[in-house]
Amino acid sequence: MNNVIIQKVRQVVADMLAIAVERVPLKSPLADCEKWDSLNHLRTILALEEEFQVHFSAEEIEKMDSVEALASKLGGEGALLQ
Amino acid sequence: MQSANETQPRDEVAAAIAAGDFRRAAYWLGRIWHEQPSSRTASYILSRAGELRADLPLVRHKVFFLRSFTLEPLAPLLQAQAFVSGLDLDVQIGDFNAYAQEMLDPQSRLYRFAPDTAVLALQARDIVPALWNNFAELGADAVQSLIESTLTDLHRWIESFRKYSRANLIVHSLELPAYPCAGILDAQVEGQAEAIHRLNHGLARIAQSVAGVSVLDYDALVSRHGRLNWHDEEKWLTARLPIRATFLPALAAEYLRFLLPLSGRVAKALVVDLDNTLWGGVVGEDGIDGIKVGKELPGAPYLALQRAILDLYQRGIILAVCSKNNFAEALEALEKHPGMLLRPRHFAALRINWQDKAANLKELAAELNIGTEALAFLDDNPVERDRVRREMAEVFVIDLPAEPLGYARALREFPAFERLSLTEEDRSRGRMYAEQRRRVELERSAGSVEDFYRSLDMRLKIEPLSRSNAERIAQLTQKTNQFNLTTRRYTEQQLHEMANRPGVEIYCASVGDRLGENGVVAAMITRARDDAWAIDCFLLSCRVIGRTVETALLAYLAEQARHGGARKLIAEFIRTKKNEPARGLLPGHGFRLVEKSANGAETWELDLETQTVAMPDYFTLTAAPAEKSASRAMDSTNVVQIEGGLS
Repeated sequence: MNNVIIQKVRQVVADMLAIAVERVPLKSPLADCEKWDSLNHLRTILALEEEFQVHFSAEEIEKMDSVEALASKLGGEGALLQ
Repeated sequence: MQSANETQPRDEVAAAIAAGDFRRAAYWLGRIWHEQPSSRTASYILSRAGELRADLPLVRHKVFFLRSFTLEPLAPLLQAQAFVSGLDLDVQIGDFNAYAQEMLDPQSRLYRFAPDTAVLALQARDIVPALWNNFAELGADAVQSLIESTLTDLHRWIESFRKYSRANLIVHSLELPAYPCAGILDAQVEGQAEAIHRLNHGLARIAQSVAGVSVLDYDALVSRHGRLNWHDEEKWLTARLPIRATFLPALAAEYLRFLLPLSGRVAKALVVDLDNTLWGGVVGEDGIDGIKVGKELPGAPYLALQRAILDLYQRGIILAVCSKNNFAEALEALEKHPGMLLRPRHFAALRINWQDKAANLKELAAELNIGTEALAFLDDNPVERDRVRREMAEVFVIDLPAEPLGYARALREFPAFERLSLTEEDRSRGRMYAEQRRRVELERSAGSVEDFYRSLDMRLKIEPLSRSNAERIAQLTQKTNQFNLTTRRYTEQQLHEMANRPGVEIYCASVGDRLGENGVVAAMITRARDDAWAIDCFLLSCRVIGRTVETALLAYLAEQARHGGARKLIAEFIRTKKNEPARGLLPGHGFRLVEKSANGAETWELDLETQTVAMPDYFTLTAAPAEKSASRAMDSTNVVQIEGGLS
């Protein structure tokens, strides 16, 4: 999987939760992350949509529960990378 | 891992914070925001802002959102954007769809929060679902009665808000449907769009009828960005958020256009560069015939920018030039180029030289008698902009895109020029500043300062608060920082309430002379208590400082107080970073310092039985009778005493 996308997703999550990048898990569910709640989930999804200029469906959002899942979805979309 | 161009500014922020250099940290945070204004950047900025907040000269403002849809993700964006504009926003969001209860219940969270500003963010699909979803089934009578009942509800909520809160209220207009239910027929009959337009007109009328209420044209904002792009049906259905992520920064920016003027953080003057900003090309190289400005390309973008600048001038923004040119050449271009919309007469001050721009900006502010924090700087050169940002964090710097076609839009989007109301004084400010330049010339040529005062034939008119001057008095209390004894800010609404209290007098004064009218330039508020009159507010616009107007006003107040039976005139001086010019006023007119509190507020007193303030004889004075004060001053049982101002 595209490592650049993974790192970028991880950084966005870290920014949205205001925690250090290293504390954002790659594989385990983000729900286990400190400060994770439904509002932060929504904010993170919005930030990713803005950052990568994509739009997730409700169904996709349900499934994307980890950094890897998010990155693989974004990689598949051919998301824009700056 | 971040990309290199992202890591470096963040490292700068960390280093500056570690070194305790908060201004430098704020500079870098601003730069990060302007490079990528997004949710993610906002979140990062707020994570750092906490450490800087206390050490930066930020204006604090509390905002409460009343809403029928999800707005939570917007709050950090708004706070970050406000932070880089010098505003420290405290934001609270009301309960989902609880706006009516919150406005009607005096004990609600809204009123407990005591906001400076509240926002009422509603959608037609929430407050009149029948009009939104079932319009096709409704007859004309049903539509009419829905519109009326909705407006009645809104009016009731807004009046209730006005009853329980002095805060400003910003009301969203209602968004129109992207596809009216009758298709193209909708525009041929009194259709669904028309019905919502009528609701919006009714809402605007309510806003005009209740003090301190303004309309945010949400529908215009949505249509500016494109209705179909703006709306996010998926997020609406899953999270009750009807706005696509990419447009949240635009909504935050729209709120800021209101919050900057409401909090007094505004730009009063626009300082413009010339070459490649007001016109295309460099006049020193291309000559007056070679520079581009006019109706066709490549001059059209510059003409569009000049049009936008002229619109600001009509709004009362003072214009000045700061450019690196030969003075004569640049002035000739401004005077004689046929395509030019702006002419030398529009500018209140010129700095056309080869000096450093930051130094020029400081001089311009001094010449215009405004603080550097009231300057906005427009320059096509990013290096100049960056230099001003580093050197003068308080100056508003307007970012221009690389492409000149985007210049006018960048200026029109800039929030610090927004005003929520416009008085006659505002409209004529540009002309008044030009007259002021001639006064300065006259002063230089006059023999003594007394000769100068006498040569002006000054007229001073003092009037009590009235419907016609209340807006201007409120504006003076909001915006006057320098010659202001107490720097208490009042809204129009508060002024009317205060004036109804026994013993309280509110005056304003206008000054004219043979060179022109300065309009209403001073405000005073006094309250009678026991045997004394206390001055709650005494301020003078910087436009008339140095012409003994303040002496005339004090003489008038002393006379009124004596007439009202007072034996003492009491005045406070509350020192701020900016009101140094007012410091000498009280000791200079015979007041005696009687008390200095721990927080630095001073109380001064003038003994009216033994002292007086002489009215300078340079003025022709017209004063409205103040019979109210004479009858009430001694009635101390009715006197309201409120510590720390009358608000």
